[in-house]
This record gives sequence, C-alpha cells and structure tokens, in this order.
Amino acid sequence: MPLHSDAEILLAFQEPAKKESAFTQLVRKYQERLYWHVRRMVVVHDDANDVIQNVWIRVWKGLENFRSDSQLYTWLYRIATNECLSFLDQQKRKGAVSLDQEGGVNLSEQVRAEQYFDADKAEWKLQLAIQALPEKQKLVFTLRYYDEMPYEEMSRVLETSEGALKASYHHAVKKVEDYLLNR
Amino acid sequence: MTDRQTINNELKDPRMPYSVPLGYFEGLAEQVLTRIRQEEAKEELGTLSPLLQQLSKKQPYSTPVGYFDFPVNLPASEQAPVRSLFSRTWIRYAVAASVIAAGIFLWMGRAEQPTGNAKNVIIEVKQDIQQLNEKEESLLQEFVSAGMTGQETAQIDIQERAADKTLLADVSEQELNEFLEQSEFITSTETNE
Repeated sequence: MPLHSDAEILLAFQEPAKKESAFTQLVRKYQERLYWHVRRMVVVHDDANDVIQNVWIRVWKGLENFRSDSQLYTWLYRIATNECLSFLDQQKRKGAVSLDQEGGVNLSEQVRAEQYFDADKAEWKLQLAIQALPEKQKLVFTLRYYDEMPYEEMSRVLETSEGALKASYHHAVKKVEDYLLNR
Repeated sequence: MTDRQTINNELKDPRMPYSVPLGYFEGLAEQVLTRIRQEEAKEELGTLSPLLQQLSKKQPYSTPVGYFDFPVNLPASEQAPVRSLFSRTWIRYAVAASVIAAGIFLWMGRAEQPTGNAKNVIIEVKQDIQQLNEKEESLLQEFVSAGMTGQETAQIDIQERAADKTLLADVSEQELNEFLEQSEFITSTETNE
C-alpha cells in the first residue's frame, strides 16, 4: 500500500523489512522535483542523472539518522543543492565549462546545445537568462520561481538569511527580465 | 426500536454515503499550506515582474523516454557505483592486462628484460594504449595516478575496504575468481622459489 506522508515513509524506513519499499516510495515522491532542480543547475541530462544518483545514495546512507525535527523535503533539497555545487566545482577545476565574470559556471553553451533549443522561444530565452545569473543567485531564483519554495525553507537549504534571499531573488528577477527584454 | 435508532444514527453520520481517499484529512492542512505558499510566490512575482509571471514554467529540456519510470534498485547494504570506470570496456581490458603484466613481472623474479609470454603481454598492453585516443588516455592516466603518493603497498584488505567493493561492484565473480587464481599461483610460485 502506498505511504502518503513523509512521516509514514520515515517510519517504514526504520523497519528492515520495509526499508527498500519505503525508500522507493520516497524516490518516487520527490524524484521529479529534485531532478528538475538539479537539471536547471547543471543543464545536461547525463550530468543531472549522475548528480541525482549521488543525491539518492546520500539520502539512503543518511536517512536512518535523519532528524525528523527538520522537514524531509528541505533536507533533500539541501543534499541536492550541495551535490550540484560540488559537481559544478569539479567542472570548474577540470576546465570543462566556461566561467562568468565572478568565476561562477556559465552553462549557456550547454543550453544552446540542447536537443530542442530554439533561440526564438521564450522558454529557452528564459533558460539562457537564468544561466547568465551568478551561481548562488541562480539557485535562489530557481528555488523560488520554479519550486515556489518559501524563504524560510530556502534559508535552511542555502544557509542564508531570509532577508538576503529576498534581496537576491528580487535582483535575480530584475536581471532575468532585463535579459528577456533586451537580448 | 434499537434498530431504528442505529439506522438513524448511521444516516446522521456526516460521511454517509460518500467516501474520501485514505489519509485525506491528515494531509489536508499540508495541502492547503502548500497552496498558500504557492500563492504567495505568485503574488510576489506578479509584483516584481508581470512579464515573468506570464511566462510558462514548463521545462523546455527533454529527458530520455521513461526516465522517471525506471524502478529504484538500490541494494540494501552497499550501493552500486554511479559512474563506474570499469563499465568502459577498454579500461577493463587495459587494467586487466596491466594487472596480469605486473603479476608476470613479479613471477619472473623482477627480470630486467621480459621474455616469452610476459613480453607478448607487454606488447599487447602497449598496443592497447597506443589505440587509445587522447581523451581515453588522459582518463586512464587519471585512473592510474588517482590518490597515489608512491608510498602505497599492494596489500589490500578487501573485507575492510567498502570503497574497493564499490569499485569492483561490476566486475563479475568469474573475473574476480580468475584474478584470485592467478594471484595465488604467482604467490605460491614465489614462495616455492
């Protein structure tokens, strides 16, 4: 029988006999949200797939010790975000990606290389605008714009104050809008 | 009379005759809160940028067909490696050949000039390496030199090294047995000498 809440899944995960099925349900529940969060950060599917698998392996290893006083969903995003940033750091060290003015990763070229890329379509232009943002601002923008994550939760994911996140999001929105209107 | 009372009570039950999905009321508050958060985010975006608010949030990126349908298949204790170097056929052969060549070197009593089979194996390894393209070669270099300080010994306790288990996860039992048989043969030959 499918488990509905995170609490039920966590409880089942503590029982050896139900551990794998509980984990499977957890993955099914969150896989698409986490995948798209990662994909928007690393752009290329194969990279996103590598990162997301690492995320779930970390979750598997850490779930038993997960403290239920924080939200599972926030914890998952935090792991996914850290894995994304580690991956992008590796890419930087390898020189596999171009960097923006602030030394962050600029993945615009990867966006342009996507299978269905169409420079005239607004949704692709939006992706290019997002990739033009500095790394941290990109995270804030995508978490708020796509995942509609409350600032309170985002502050736990990114370990940044709510005020700073709000300011960052407002700046990001203006930059994205400017990109869409002027390029 | 009692029966009539029971029927009356049942009819007054607010749930009759409808049913709700299992766990509906337990999850309702969370669902409403999620909606409230979404509305807040939308309102904020509407204030900041009506242009962005109008854009579709649909992802233009594509994923392989059925990507999210694959069953999750993580083992219970140790996890399978995400990107196994050994899944590359050329590395399997190159590494296997290198291991065999190294073993034969030891067996030959640190011979200065390899002869016979050993020489053939080395020639094959060299040919394999020559056939690698630049990218493959740099990957092999990375693999060979990863984490090496020059102070390592060849003694590895497989039972205590979870990382090794992961590294060897997709090497078949047969390949491992063949390797162990070769190692045992080399060790026993060295001991007998």
